[in-house]
This record gives sequence, C-alpha cells and structure tokens, in this order.
Amino acid sequence: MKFRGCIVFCLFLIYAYSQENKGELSGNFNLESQYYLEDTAIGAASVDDKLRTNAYMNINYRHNNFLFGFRYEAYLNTLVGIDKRYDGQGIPYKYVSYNKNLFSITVGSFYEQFGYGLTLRAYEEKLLGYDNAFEGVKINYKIINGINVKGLIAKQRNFFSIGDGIVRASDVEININELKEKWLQKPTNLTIGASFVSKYQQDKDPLYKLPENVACYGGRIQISSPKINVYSEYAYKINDPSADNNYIYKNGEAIVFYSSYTTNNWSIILNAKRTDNMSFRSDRNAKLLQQYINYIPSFVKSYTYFTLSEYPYSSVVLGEAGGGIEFLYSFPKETFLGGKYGTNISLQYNRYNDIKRNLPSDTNLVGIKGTYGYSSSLFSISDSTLFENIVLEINKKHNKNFKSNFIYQYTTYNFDALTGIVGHGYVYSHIFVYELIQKLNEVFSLKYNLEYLYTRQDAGNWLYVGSELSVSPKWFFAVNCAVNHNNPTISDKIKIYYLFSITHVKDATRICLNYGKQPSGILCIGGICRYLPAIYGFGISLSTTF
Amino acid sequence: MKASVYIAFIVIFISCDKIEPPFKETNNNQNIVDTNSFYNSQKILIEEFTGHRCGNCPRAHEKIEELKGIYSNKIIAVSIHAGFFAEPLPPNYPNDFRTNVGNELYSFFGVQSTPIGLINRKKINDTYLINYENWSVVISDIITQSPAFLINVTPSIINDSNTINAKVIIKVKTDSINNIRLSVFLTEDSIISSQTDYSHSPTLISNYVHNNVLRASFNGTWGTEITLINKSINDTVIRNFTLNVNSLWKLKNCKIVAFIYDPDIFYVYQVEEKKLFDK
Repeated sequence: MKFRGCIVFCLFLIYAYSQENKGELSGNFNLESQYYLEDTAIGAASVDDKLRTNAYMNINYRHNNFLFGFRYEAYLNTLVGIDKRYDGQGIPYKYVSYNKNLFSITVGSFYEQFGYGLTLRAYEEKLLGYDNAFEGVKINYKIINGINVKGLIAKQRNFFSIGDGIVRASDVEININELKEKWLQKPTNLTIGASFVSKYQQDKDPLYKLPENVACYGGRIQISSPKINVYSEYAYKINDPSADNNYIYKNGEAIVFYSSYTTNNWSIILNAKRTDNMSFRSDRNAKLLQQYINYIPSFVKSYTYFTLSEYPYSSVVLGEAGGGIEFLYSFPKETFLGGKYGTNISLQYNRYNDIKRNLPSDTNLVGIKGTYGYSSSLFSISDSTLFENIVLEINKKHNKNFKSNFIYQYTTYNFDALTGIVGHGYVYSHIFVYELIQKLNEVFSLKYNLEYLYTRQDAGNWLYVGSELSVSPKWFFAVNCAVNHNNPTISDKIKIYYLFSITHVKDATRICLNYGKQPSGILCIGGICRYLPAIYGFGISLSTTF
Repeated sequence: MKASVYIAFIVIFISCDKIEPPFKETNNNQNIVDTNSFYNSQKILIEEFTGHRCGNCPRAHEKIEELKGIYSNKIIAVSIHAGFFAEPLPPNYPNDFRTNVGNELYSFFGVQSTPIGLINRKKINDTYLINYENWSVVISDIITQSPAFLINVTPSIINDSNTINAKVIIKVKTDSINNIRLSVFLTEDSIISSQTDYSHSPTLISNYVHNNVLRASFNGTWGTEITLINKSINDTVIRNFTLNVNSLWKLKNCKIVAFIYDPDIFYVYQVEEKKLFDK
C-alpha cells in the first residue's frame, strides 16, 4: 500500500518536471501537535510518548486535461481521542484524473456523494478521524445537457490499508430545466436522481449464511424556486447482517425531507427524517467510524459554543424518526424591536424518537442474531424520545461598535441511546449563551462569551467564560475558562478548565499555540460524533495553503 | 458509450443476494473435528481483553462460547482482565482479576477499548487487535491450516498442593522455523463475581460466571525461548515449568494453556490447554 503510493508519487514528479508547459500546482499543509501533561483530577491521562503530532499535506497538480494528486499523512503518534490504528505514516490518498469535454475518469483514491448520501457518501473529516475514501475507478459522463451519470467500483480506506469489501455504484441525475433551453429561464428548478449501490464481501462466517452481495438503492427529488426549496430522498437496503445491527436480516430504509420558505423578513424551515437499520458499510464487521458507504444527514443545527456542544444530536443510523421546524424573523431597521441596525430572531424545535420495533415473522423476540430481528413500517414511531430541544436565538447589532448574540436552549438528551453508555438515563439541560463583540477601533476588537449550562444529571452544571482580543489582521489572544460544579459523579465540588491561546495569521498561514485544560466531551461534525477525552498540556497547530 | 452505461447499470442491479430463512448454515457439523484427533490439529488461541465493569464485554464472552460450539475444543480462550474497566471498585466490584502479565500484554498490544482480542496474535491491517465480531472470519482462515507444531501438556500438583508443575512436550512438524517462544499460562473457570452487562437489566450482575480468567504465567509475559536448530520433523522438545499456588485460586477449575509463538512477529503457531484435574 505504502509502496504503491510512493510509485505514484515518483511517477507524478517525473511527469511534472519533464513537461515544458508546466501545469498548476496547489495544495495545503496542516499540523496538529500536543504535549500531554497528566492531571488525574480532570481525567487527563499520562501519555508515554508525551508529544504527539498529526500532520498531512495535499498536493494537486493540474496539467492540460490531467489532474494528479496525493496526500501524505503522518500520525506520530495519533492524537489522544483519534483512533490509535492510524499510528504510522504513508500516502493513503493518491489519484490521477482525466477530464475531457463531458467525460471524466478517476483512478486511485476519490470521494463521492449521491444526493444527501443515503446510499453513498465518501468524505473525510480530520477532526473526527473519519475517512472512508474509495480506491478504485470512477467514471463521470454527461450524456446530454441535464443528464449526468456516474459509475464507480472501488474498495474503501481502512486506516493505512484497504478494506475487504468491494463497492459497485451508479447514479443518474436529471436536471429537467437543462433538458430544453427555454426551460432554463423558468424560475422553478426541478432535479431528480436515482442511485444503485452494491457491495460484495465474502462470507467466511461458519455459523450464518451471510449475503455476499448487498444492494442499496434510492431516489431523490429537488424543487427550488426563489422562495421555496424542497428536497426529499428515499433509500432502501436489502438484508445486511452486520456488527452494527447484531447480524439481523431485516431490510433497511431511510427517508429525509427538507423544505424552506423565504420572504423578505422571515423564513421557515421544515425537515423530517426516518432511519431504520441503515448502517451500510463495505465491511460488515467494521465498527466505529470505519468503512461507511452511506451517510445519514443530521438536520439539528450544531453550534461551536462550548455549552451548546455538550449534548449534541447525531444521526442514529439504526433507528430514528422525527424532524424539526425553525422560524426566522428579521425585525426591520428603525422599528421598536429592530432598532437602528435591525434584529434577527430564530426559534427552532427538534424532536427525534426511536422507531417502533415489532416482533419479526421468524421468532418471538426482538433483535435476536440470525433472525429478521424485528419488523417496522415506514412511519411507525416509538414513545422513546432520543432527543428534543427548543432553541431561541436573538442576534442584534446595537451600534457600529457592538454586536451581541443570545441563545437559550432546553434539551432532552437520551444519554444511553445516543452514546451507547447505559445507566445515565435522560439528561435535561437548560443552556444560556451570551456573546458580545466589541469593536474598539480599526485595529482592536474584543469578544466576550458568557455561557451557563444547568442540569441535575450527568456531569452537572457548567459555567463558561471566554474572551478574545483581536489585533487586526494578524494576532488573536484568547483566554477561556470552564467551571464544572455540582457534578454528582466526582467528589470535588468544582473543577476548573482554563485554556490560553495565541494565534497568528499571515497570508494563507495560520499558527496557533495553546496551553491549558480541555474537558472530555463529544465532538460532532455533520451528524458524526466521536468522544474526546480530557486533555491537559501544550498544543500547536499550523495550517497553510499554496 | 450510452450502451456501456446501461450495461453497467444492469450488471450492478443484479448484484444482490436475498437470503431466506433459515439463516444458519446447515453444514456446521463438518467444522467440528473429532475430539480424539485434537492433538493433531491446528488450534486457536483467543486472548480476549476484558473487564468486569465493561458493559459490552459479555458479548465477547458469548462469542467465545459460540465459537466453541462450532469448533469445540479447538478454541482456547484466555480472558485478560486489564485496563480501566478491570479496576476494582468496591463495593460492587471488589475483586481484582488483573495480573502483571495481562497488564503488560494490554499495554504492549495498545489496547484502547474493550472488548477486543488477539486471534493467534495474527496481525491484520497493521493491528493485532480484532473486534469480536471479526473473530470467526479470522479463525476460519487459520483453523484449516496444517499445524507447524503439536503440543502436549501434562499438569501435576507437587509439594502438598503448593506448586503446580507443567510438563510441555512440543512435537516439531516443520523444518522452516528455527526459533520459537513458549508461554505457559494458568487460567481459571467458573469464578462467580460481578460484571456489568449493558444488555441486562439492571446492568450490574452480581453472580456472573467468569471463565478462562488469566491468573498467572509460569514463565513471564513473553515465555521461554526455544531454539530448534538441529531439530527434524517429528522430533520433540520437553520443558518443565512450576508455579506457586495462590490461595485465591480454585485449582479444580484451573487450566494450563501453553502456546508457541514467533519471537519476531508474535504469531501463535500452536496452542494447547489442559485442566489441572482432568477426569
């Protein structure tokens, strides 16, 4: 694997430098380094190697109709919280792509997505340690204007190697407006799509007859106009016993719906989703974040504020049903509530329940290995709440120097079901966030954060105070302090986590140094989450693009 | 071009296998080898990292029983209690099943989460650690191989039940391996103690039956080096090991597990198990 990567890399260099008509080189580099100190009081464990660094560099080279590229990655060793099986270094991502007119071929590594991804989505997210890149062949062909067809056959990345399963997939997307020139002028745009994905993995299990070829197919429709946007997608998967679903033979299905209506001053967003047994991986025995073929999106708005990211909602691929509604209104300027600069207000409500599971046809118990597991109709919902929240957000510019943001959120969080750690039950929390941005002059500006999370369950209450001084355009100094109190799981009355950071930005390069303590928590990006253990120590991050 | 696209669609579309009940294989019996020929067959060592406060670990224990149901005594398990979830936490979890050997193996193989295990210490995709869902797949690859060694273990109790003696006879069945290491462990079955089980309500089971619990090693974490230069096929090597008895162990439930592995890649060539008091 690493050897093959080096060959591609060498060929690429030879080709690039042998050309008189030099092409275009681009890329980026990122480095995250952490020196770990032990602090048993916050649960920050000692690390044998003390200093760990994760770095990667992407290089892309375009020449005429060809695009070459690779990514070198080093996990020396993997940062605490990321899967340790990444330990090592190599070139796991390398590709050559040829594009001409309406046709393109990619060999090597690539990412891809059909619709929202209910049948197929490969992408990477370094902060999560998520990378399900394909390695194989992909063809993209525009048959006529408005009809685009994709086909691929590939295996998937599994840390620094390639997984067992083979994925075969095709997708057709038709943009109705593009079919005829006169339809292009119409204000309403209609797009439909269909996809078919099949995976192959040998059955070596001595006990069960496992399907070696598992198919998943779906359809989607999008209608968009200046005011209204509607999207819906449905996917169906045949029997796919796996480690995720405890090797049951039930079919899976998922449906998502998203719509929005916007006028001058207000807009409304409605979304709904139901997922039933839709974990779809190219290796039926894979776990955690490895080798997902598909992706179930999350419609619950996520925030970067400390307290609001404490109890996030991620998609529950084995079973969830629910939706959300969000109402946004802008009070016009020069009104009582709008003030001189206007005021934005948003009110949203989300609720997700587990799906209802009835007895299957082949046994009198639910979820038993080697059976159909359970039965469930498309719109059946159980009484068990997974997640519920109501959020009020008010965003206001007070004058030319002051801007503020206020958020209140009430959350019901089914800790056992959402984290897989049984025994916590439901966590009910009230969260208040107030952020104030003050522009002192053309160079200096200040940002203050005051947050409070109140709950009688789990880790108790949190007070968070953050401040950041920006010295435009190059320097940022930040001091944050999180205080945990009334935590029923620890003997200490309060625990304090402080973090200092200095950031320097120059052109396309950003360097950040930090020192302090970070509490354990759950990091969610796009509905995929991972657990972050508590950390104490020095950190450095560096990123640049070229 | 259009035709090829349509053909690709059709080919992909037929690529699905709909399985109808019964979902269990009907030819399992062929996997179960006659117990009389055990001495001559390749056996499997499952070193399972576990802990009494690990709520998903009973799933791995069940997997071991399931595999023993398929492969009978060709499966030899060692349950290594180590890591955070194995720490005692009185009053509900008063017992400490951790051992120095187990702690060292846990650390050396880089265990991050439990349950997880080693299958003959085979390295797959740059890791020795294999999720219990994958054990059967790895085992099905190894178990049909011809054994490079055969092992015979003869236990005995000496010095008024204060010392266990293990006599290990190795029969060489290959001429391509010159150096091996031999490890001899003591395990214990039927220990009644508490265990967390996330699929049980309440999740704390106070009278859980712990099997295959690693108690000690006769010859350290990494065993004894044995050189096979000048040994021919069917030659034998005999080694004797002793271990002082700990009063916490119930000897009638104890077993000796002896295994041979490669000193460089750690791959376990063969393993054998014998009860201290075989009826």
